[in-house]
Amino acid sequence: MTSELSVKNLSFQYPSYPGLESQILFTDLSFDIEKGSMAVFLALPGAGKTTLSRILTSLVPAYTGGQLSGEIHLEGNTGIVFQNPDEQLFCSTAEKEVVFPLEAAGLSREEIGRRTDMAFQKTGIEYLRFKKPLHLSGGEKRRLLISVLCATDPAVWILDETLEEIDIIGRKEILTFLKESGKTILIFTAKMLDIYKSYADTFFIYGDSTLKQFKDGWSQEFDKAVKDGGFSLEGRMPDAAEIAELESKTFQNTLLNLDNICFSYPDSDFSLSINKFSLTQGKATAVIGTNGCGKSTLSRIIAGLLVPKSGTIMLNGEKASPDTLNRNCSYLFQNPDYQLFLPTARAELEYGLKLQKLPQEQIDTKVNKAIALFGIKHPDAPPVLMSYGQRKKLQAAVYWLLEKKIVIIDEADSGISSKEYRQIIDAFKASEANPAILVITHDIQLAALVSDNIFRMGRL
Amino acid sequence: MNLDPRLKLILMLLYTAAFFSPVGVLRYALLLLPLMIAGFTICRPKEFLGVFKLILPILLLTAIITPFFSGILETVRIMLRFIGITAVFFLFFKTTDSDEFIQTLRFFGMPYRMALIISISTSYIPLLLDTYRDTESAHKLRYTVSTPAPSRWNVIARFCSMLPVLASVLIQAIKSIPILAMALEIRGVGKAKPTVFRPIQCKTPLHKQFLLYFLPITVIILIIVFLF
Repeated sequence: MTSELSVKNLSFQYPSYPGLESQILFTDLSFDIEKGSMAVFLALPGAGKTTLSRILTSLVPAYTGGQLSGEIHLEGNTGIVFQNPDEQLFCSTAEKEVVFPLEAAGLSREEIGRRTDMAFQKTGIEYLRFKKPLHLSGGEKRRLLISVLCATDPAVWILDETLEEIDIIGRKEILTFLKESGKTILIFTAKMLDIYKSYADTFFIYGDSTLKQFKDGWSQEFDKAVKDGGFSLEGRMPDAAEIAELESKTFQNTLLNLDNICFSYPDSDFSLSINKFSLTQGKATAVIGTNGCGKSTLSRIIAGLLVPKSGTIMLNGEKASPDTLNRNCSYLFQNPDYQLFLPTARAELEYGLKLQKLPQEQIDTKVNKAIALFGIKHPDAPPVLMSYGQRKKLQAAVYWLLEKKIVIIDEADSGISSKEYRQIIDAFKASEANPAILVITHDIQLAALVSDNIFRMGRL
Repeated sequence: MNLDPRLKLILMLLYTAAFFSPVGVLRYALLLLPLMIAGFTICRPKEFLGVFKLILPILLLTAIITPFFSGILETVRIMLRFIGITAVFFLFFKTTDSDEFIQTLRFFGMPYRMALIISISTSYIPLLLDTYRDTESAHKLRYTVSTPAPSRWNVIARFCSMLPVLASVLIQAIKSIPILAMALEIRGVGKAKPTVFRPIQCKTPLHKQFLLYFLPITVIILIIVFLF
């Protein structure tokens, strides 16, 4: 077989900034990907997966600066799905997102129509065609970007942590489609999803400036390397009986109760209806469900960011106003940048404590503890220059310091390793506030591992 | 009514010019009336009124400062001008999507790249508004039960509490510039002569729209501005 993509002696370093000394990301990195194969590139967050994916699409260093050396040989062009889909969507409807690059390529109207129909059909999102990309869930946005690749048909498809936030059925559908497409696929990820074993031909594990290649799919040696590298959750996949038991589990003395909640967005056909839902202090509840079933909407209602049309929300036995819920809930958003605005990570951590008018000495002690616990590597660096994973950890540390009664972790595992994600959840569990934790995830294994009960929404 | 965006663009410019014409308060109010009717017909009242909430600081500032220099009538006139222009632009962009806007600009001879830049810039305004709302929500969650709430009537404290939100939005907006450029590049912008998949289509033919809607509205505007 011939190589579709060949990388030889690639080295790269970003420019340095005040407070953030740049490190060499790659030194003499070399690998080949055969034509028509599917390769999974595993590396921990911060190792340079996004940078490498953007080097292969000629975006880095063109837009970022930095020193790049080495050779890249490509048979054809590359297409990419960014780690954060919001960065890539800018049209008013899903159809226009797909049509835009085809129009830009100067294709005929008939050809654009044919390719667009085919892309929506093959990725199974025909129902999203005339919806606004901004209104789609994280998983739906990623599926839309895959349909853009499907329509533009580049030689090499690069997916940067794309499948993590897609539900289990969606992952299977997309990987089947990718495999059958016969295209060269390169998937960058920090998590070894079990499903990759059935589809990928080659695995790369990158860490400590060393790249190990495992051809012919899964092997015991590869399995060991995955576990040693922290790319998978420890423990086994729960069986149906265990999941059913977790789903049926209820607790006494609940902290938060939702009764007959109904919610719908204006200008949208989406509506959410929840008969009963509760959270208990000191217990973790996992919410699982397909993309777009309303998991994030439920979280926003609990956090007091959305007000339901009907129903009651009781906190500690009293009817809770949105402001009360705001003040009692921590919410780890999918996008950590919503909350970051100060010049250093340390200032971000101090901000909430300063608002509480705590003495500086107490603030310093707490902040230093949070920096160590959450592994904030550059506390005096501007958050805006930190990696996506580091910003997510910073966001978690900010909330950990606020010691609120309820912690909502909304699919916050993108950009951080499974091990780090568990560490974050464990840190909240061990917090003095002993909060009720709500974990939103597609990962049944994670749900079973970290939660005391499971709440299922939509089909799974 | 799905009015052709090319006619809407001309009407928008005509309306804007009318709101800058040196006419009295009554005529401004007459110009504003059809816009208000259209606004409340097209949008939910909360959404339409929300647009004016955004310019409330400007209106308040005008109401406080201008009477000392130009009198009450001039103050009302300036305020109606702000409201009118805001309503015109809001209604245009509410009823015209970015693709139609690009095609409209290109119809009037603007080069593709320039039309694309203008279209993306204008479509970023609602996006920024959404970002502002999300960021504001995220910042609310940084308060705890022991954080003192800023007094509802303490304008300075309320303004200060907005600064972190504005800073976050600004950071995100600046960060999005190179990322948007990347997103456009990987979609192949500028590599070939672009085509159009869905040309501007309206149920009513252009000439009928011109006669039925464009011409009467234009005549009414001109009458309000120049006659009686």
